[in-house]
Amino acid sequence: MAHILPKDEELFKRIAREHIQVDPALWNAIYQNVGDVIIVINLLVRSYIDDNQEIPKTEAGKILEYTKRLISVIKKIDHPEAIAADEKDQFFRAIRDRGLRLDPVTHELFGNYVRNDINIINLVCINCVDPLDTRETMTIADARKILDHTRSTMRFLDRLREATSKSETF
Amino acid sequence: MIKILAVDDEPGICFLIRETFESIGFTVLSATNGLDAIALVKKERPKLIFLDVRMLGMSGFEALKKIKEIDPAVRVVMLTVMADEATKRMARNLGADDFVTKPFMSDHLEEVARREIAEVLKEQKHETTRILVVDDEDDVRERLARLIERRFVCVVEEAANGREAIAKLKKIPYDVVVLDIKMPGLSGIDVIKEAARIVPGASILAVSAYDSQDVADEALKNGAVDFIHKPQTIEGIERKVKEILKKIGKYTPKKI
Amino acid sequence: MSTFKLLVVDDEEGIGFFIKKIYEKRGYVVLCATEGIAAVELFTKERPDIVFIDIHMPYSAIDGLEVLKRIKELDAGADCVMITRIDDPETINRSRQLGALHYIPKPFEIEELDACIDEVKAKRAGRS
Repeated sequence: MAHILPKDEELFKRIAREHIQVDPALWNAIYQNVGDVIIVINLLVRSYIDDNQEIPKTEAGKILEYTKRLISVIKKIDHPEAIAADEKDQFFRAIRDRGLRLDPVTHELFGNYVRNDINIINLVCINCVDPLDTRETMTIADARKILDHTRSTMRFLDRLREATSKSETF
Repeated sequence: MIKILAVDDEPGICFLIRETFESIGFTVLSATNGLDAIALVKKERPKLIFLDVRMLGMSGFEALKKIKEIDPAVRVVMLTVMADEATKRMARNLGADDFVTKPFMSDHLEEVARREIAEVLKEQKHETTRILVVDDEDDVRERLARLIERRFVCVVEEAANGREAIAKLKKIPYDVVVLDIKMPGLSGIDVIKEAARIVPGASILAVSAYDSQDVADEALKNGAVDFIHKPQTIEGIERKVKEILKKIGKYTPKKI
Repeated sequence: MSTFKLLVVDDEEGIGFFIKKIYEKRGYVVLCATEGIAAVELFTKERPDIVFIDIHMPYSAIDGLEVLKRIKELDAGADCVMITRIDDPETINRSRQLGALHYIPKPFEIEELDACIDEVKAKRAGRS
């Protein structure tokens, strides 16, 4: 869900206490690539359920396409060595060249939120677009589930940014 | 490959049974006492057991009782010198399916065995494929269950955590366990170990949030037969479950 | 009174696409550009009531701040809202200097856009 669990609160506190920083290349890669796609999925879902409309199977397929983009971002974060030689994104290039990885604390939080959110959005979508599923649309409940998980990732990105921010508040 | 277990403290009997059945294509295991027999039942899940009534140490009846507790479906043929009514009744009450009086001719043994195995095969055809999906996230578990149910003729049940999974495994001999190995509480690896112990016949498909060879190796080392990582694709789930079901001879695709 | 017009400038095509879908249902006119030069051209032609500009567009010839600058040169009173990464104070200050109305941090939901639209509408109603 969209809230931060107590055990994860502890991890955020550790980030603050131990002054854990996320390398700007990593941060930018995550923020830009995950952030933008999450916004699209959020908007797509809202464009239907705000009017109480069920999302048709084809549109669910679109969400799945966006989710696959998120999945490939995660893959690059997990396996920087496997980032392609012709990678266009400057941040992923830096990650690859410098072998950047998330520290264990951030990695765990990242797994509990972003990775988990993406996994669930993925599962909801594949279940919906399943050719063996007789429904023509995604239920409103499923759509809300996806929305919840976009918000969970959004909230996580905000929290992580707060926790690792060097600058004073403005 | 149907497994037969011969349990008799006279090694000659075990030898004879092995001779009789290995030549016609069965796998024959043997034990000379009740304790060893029980251990073999747990580990190997034979379909048919020839069990001597009178043995040193644990009696045949005691062994019969314990074996039926582990696997209520196993066919047991008692081997006895005294085929009196009292013995027969006692044995039937404890779950024995038939008797062979010693000394016996190997073709009589064969006849009894064929009858019992016919029963086993009849049951197997109707034996439902049972799949257990274990994941602490309701959303994940329910959807995985649905994806699987749509594709294979099977009964899919769910467990929300390690403890629930183990409790269910103790009661039902699931064919496949789709198991999330990162759950709070009882860790997935512990569940794999426990499941492999309780239901040695179950094929465990470990599901991990991480695409990590180390995690995969750890799961396989501890008893999982295969590994899949999240996020899954329908094709991936279908392929892995199908492979396992084919291997255990329980693959029946659902007709659309 | 003519229909309220939005211009959305973001290099992520999906963002403009779905903002357009949502707001067109509400009766607005929505234009989208995924790149800076095209955005300025669109502004010149269409004179939208509000412009949402993503500051960081790595593959665009000109970035969001430059788009803001050029739009303000064409129309000093243009209402522009920057969409930005909140951990980038220099850029936010620069956009304020260039005359941006607000900034919205990414990631955002529609409500943030609504608030800006409402503000601009109120401003215009106040003027007329």
